[in-house]
Amino acid sequence: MSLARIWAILRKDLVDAIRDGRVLAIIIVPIALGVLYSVIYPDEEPRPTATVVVVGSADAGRVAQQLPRDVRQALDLTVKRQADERQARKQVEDDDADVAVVIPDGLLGEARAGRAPPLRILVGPQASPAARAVVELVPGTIGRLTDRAPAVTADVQAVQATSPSVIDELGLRRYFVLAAIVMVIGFIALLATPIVLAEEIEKRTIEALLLAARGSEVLTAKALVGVVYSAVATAITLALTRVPIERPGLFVLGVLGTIVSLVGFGLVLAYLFRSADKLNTWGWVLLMPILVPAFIVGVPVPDWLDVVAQATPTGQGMRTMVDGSLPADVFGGLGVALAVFAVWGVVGFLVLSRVLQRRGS
Amino acid sequence: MSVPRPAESPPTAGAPPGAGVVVDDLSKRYGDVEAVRGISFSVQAGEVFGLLGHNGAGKTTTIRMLTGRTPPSGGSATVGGHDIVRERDRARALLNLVFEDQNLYERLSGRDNLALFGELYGAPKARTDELLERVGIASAAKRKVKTYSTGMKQRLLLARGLINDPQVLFLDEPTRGLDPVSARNLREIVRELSAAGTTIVLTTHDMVEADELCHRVAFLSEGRIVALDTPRELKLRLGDGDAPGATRPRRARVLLDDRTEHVVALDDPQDDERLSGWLREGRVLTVHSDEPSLADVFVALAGRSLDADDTTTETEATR
Repeated sequence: MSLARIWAILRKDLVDAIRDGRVLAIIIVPIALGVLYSVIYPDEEPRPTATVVVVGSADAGRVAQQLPRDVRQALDLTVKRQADERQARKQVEDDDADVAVVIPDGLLGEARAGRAPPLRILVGPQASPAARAVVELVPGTIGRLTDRAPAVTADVQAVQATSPSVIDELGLRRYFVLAAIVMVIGFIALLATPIVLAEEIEKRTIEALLLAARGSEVLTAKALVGVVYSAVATAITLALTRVPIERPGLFVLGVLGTIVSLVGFGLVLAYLFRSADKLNTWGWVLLMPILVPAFIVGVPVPDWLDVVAQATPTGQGMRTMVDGSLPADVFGGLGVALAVFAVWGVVGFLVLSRVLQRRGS
Repeated sequence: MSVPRPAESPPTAGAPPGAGVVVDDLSKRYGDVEAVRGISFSVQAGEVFGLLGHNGAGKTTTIRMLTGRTPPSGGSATVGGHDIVRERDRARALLNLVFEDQNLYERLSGRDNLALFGELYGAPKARTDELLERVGIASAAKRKVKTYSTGMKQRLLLARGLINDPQVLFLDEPTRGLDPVSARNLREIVRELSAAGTTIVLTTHDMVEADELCHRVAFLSEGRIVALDTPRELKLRLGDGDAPGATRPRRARVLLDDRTEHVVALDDPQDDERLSGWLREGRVLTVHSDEPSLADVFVALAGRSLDADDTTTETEATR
């Protein structure tokens, strides 16, 4: 393969395609959606609210009454009572509560006696800074009820979420901007890139290219058109929306993984449709099921649907981009994501190779 | 007006050794359809060689094989001395093709179109402007191709076909859709190329063009070559009443001063007498020998005219 020839074709495509109104619209629409989401959903502030479940009977009741007094006006605290610790834990797991404080009967008596009994506090994965402040406050509250300091030995336990709520973690603005970026990539890989190739096939300019360059060089250049446009469109979306990306390396991996895993299928579509106008008309229909997984990532959905979403490049792309935009992983599983990208990428290009062989191109 | 005729022997001065095209028992099958059935011919360096035939006769498939875009099902061929299958890249560097379709990048300028292919072939940058000048569209080089006329596009296609200074140039219906002046200019360039030693393989439906440009022509019908010779020999063969396969006597059309036209048989004594009488009386305005055209030859050999349409064109069948 000649890099010079690939570069020459790529340069031509980048200039030529952007002058095509269809391609331009395909790129602009999802970017505009990202900006729109960014405007509609304001920047999320740290939640000034916290929901605390106090578990237990008599002693728990006293703690539940005292806690709001100690918090005063600092935050909007909701205190619930729950007799069963398992139920309380589930509420925390499901993000219905931020914190559960387990107060066994007799705890206040032991504290008064100066035995500093252990106090179990369960903290949810999505707990806000306000809720974490409450965790710090609880031992003091018990100290005030018992006139002892320290009254208890706090045992803070982190609870894993059964279904992480990404929207809570990211905020709606960032969530929808990231989803719009997946849309940008999907549109470019499965609409813009195939339209570029389909137009070449339709107008038979590809015949002239194939006379001067190898088929592999032409297809590599076309795939790179998708990669370059996706990268630029993603950068533009991020610049316009000013969404912070905490871990750029991981985020870029998600962007590149998504485009590489989809662009092979995009090129297949070009050979199947062989008409830019047909692709522009019907490609959107094919695009929808490919994009849906990005929008159900992290949202409470049936398990089977979550598995399906995780098996798609847009699902894994969204997960990786979400993780890349936060200081710590919400989803993790980068290895699985890379494997999904690789499998889809390889299958896409194998199908493309098969289609080309069958057509004798 | 005199029309320049191709020399009976193609010029070879300046042509590199081994240039030209050699085709040996070449065939191509698409599933059950045998598009080309074992054709053989050779084209000398500097020769203009015409491939003529109906839609579906096998012309486009033959050119696709010779330009390395479709592998043959059987037989072999060399272009510029290089096998089109085993040495495809070397062969392709020596050839170029002016497509039947005006497959240009319409949103790019003429210069950008040409510069792209210059880069792909590794041609010197100056070649782009040189060719734009040569084909007469230098003044429109910066304009987008979609603003070009059909003739300008065809000239740009020719320039693209010459960008790598090919030893062998394939021309697929190069004057289709052109006005007479543009067509004549293009033919003039073809003659110049031939004179400079470029081997040219031309497909056309235009029998007059083939007659005018080609040193030799091959008639393709149903994937086979049914005749191959110089246009003159083919016409003489059909016109010679004594020749095997001849279908018509030698005749002349005579226009008299009363605007009546008469056809006389040149080998009929009675018609000889009539013609002599008109000449003596000074009544003859024009006399045209009624020799067969290449189209007549083709009809005689293929059994139908080139204008007869097929339900499926070859181009469609091979796409």
